[in-house]
Amino acid sequence: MADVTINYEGNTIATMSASGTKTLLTEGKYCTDDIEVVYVSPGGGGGITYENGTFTPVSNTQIMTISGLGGTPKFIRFCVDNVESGGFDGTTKALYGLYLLGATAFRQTNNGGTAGGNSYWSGGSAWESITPTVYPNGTDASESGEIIATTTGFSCHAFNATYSFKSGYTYNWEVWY
Amino acid sequence: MRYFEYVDGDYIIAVGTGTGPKEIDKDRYYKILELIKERPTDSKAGKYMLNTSLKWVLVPDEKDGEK
Repeated sequence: MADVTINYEGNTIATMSASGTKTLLTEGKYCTDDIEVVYVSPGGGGGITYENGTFTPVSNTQIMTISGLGGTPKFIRFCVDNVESGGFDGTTKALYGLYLLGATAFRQTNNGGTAGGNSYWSGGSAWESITPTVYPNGTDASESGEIIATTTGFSCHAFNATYSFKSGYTYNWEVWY
Repeated sequence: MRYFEYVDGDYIIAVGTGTGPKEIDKDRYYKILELIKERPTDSKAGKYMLNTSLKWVLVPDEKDGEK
């Protein structure tokens, strides 16, 4: 699928992919309409690009905003480094969030309270998410299905995640676009 | 590896790697991480914030009706 199309008088006269050059042969010709350049699809003609990084707040903060990405994220994941010390939320569990832009629905299931358990939930108006949770000590079954991260927003070349990010902990983020 | 800091006014609110609003060098990044680990405890008088000169500043909490 082309990333960019160039239209003239309602017809596509050229297409572009992630790279390359196209020449419009206009020398000596007279245009009777505008030439329209349309950005159709990000990401190199169907390929997927991965970026990752870290975020360490100076003080406790409710929002992590990552901007300046190379594309608009389709998938986002973030987690905290020091899970064994309960870094993500101050208790004993850590979160791995995978956020899917534009998905339709997910179901919530019992995470079982064991390491590697998963909970799936749906919510939000513009996006849906899967939030697998991990309980390092395997004793937190009573909190099955708890929604930990509350909102996540997406915009062009940026995303934000809302949670009680704690001072001194490093949150790893990963995006695919 | 590229290093960044997030600044709000005169204060640094976070540091990061990968991408971010303001690129910094590795030494400054690790210096800020070190300072974060030694962050003074907030008190009733206010909250400690790290200014761009890498000094902790006690900023009084805003109260209702004050700006």
